[in-house]
Amino acid sequence: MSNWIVANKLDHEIDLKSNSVLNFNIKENASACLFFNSSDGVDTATINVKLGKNSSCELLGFFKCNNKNTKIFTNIMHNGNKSKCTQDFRFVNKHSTSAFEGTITIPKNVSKCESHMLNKNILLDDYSQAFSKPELNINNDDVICTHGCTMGALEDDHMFYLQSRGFTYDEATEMLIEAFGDIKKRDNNVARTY
Amino acid sequence: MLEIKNLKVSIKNKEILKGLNLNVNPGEIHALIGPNGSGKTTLANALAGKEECITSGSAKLNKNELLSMSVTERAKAGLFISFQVPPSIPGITNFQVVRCSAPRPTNNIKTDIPNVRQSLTKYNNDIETLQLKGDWAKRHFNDGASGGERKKNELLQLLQLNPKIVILDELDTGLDIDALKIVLSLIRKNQNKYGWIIISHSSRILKKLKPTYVHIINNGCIAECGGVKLLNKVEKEGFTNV
Repeated sequence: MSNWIVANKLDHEIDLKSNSVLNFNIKENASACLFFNSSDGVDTATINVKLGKNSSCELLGFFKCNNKNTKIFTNIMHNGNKSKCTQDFRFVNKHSTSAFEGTITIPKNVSKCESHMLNKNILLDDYSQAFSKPELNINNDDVICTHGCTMGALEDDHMFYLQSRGFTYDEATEMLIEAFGDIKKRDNNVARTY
Repeated sequence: MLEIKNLKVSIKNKEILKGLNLNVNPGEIHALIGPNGSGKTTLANALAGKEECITSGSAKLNKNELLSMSVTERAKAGLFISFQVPPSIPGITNFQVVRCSAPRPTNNIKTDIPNVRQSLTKYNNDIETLQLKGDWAKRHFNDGASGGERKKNELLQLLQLNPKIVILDELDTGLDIDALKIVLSLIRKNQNKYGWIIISHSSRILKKLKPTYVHIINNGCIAECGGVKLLNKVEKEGFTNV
């Protein structure tokens, strides 16, 4: 169990360990960008976030599950007005099962919050499975909330195209997986394009 | 160099190409025209090795049978296909896609970096020639790119990959007049390096390229073969008499 208190700004990359519980307390007007991955596989990890007034938090996760099952829980608690949270958790499964369970809670007396949850999964073979469970506990009408989930294989068209440019099947797979997990870079790219 | 003999291709149990023969040598431009749905793109896809194309017959590149090779092996053997609708692949940069053309990364950093730098310099020069945007190398592959930019990107890759046989499947669609001029001059400049198969619906552009041969493909085989004069005939009469 580890506790983090964010008072102004935090940009951090976290290597998740098995059975870990991480608590983040984002104070008023503070902001955090957290990137989670796991170098040697994680079976269960829980991420709890409490958001103060006018605070914001970005949670990004990328997990390559190879022969190992992974389960990630997130709990986002909007405790202050105008708090913002974006979650983007991505899993690549090879001979494994992944599960993502995300809860967003906005109490009745907290308004003008924004909370987004996205979970994307790639299944590399027929043995792999992915579970996704969004739980939105919204008690105030004046909020913006979204959740989304995708599951599927790597795109045939992309695989074919890269191979037609001389990459082997394995190289093309590796490139597309890295591209899928390149959440941070993608954001930078968007920022640069516009 | 490329010898296609009695090539038959079927997709989902439907025979599209019904015994096609074609020989392409270096420096030759073969224009391939024909009505919609006659099998022009199928030829390009089948040669590239698209999974859905079930092939029989033979297609040899420098005496090596392409049809028994994987998609990657065909590319490495020297086949380059500019696709009609190139995909966009977010997360992979434009330069990454041609990285294959540069010598493979070794563990020796000292010899590796100059190679990358050299190929990036050539890449950036070609970007300028094609009048693509300055940060093209770093941008995600065709992400947010217009139809014309995607086609330019295909040509840009061609210039890096240095193949033996080039198949351009409707490269001209989406390109504006100025871009067409650049593309045509690039093809002319590199004409002798490669063997070309150019699929197009625009006889105006094909005439400018002065193809060595013009083939009309109809109903899955080559119905008529000739020189540039054939283009005039088709312009007047259409494909109905073919």
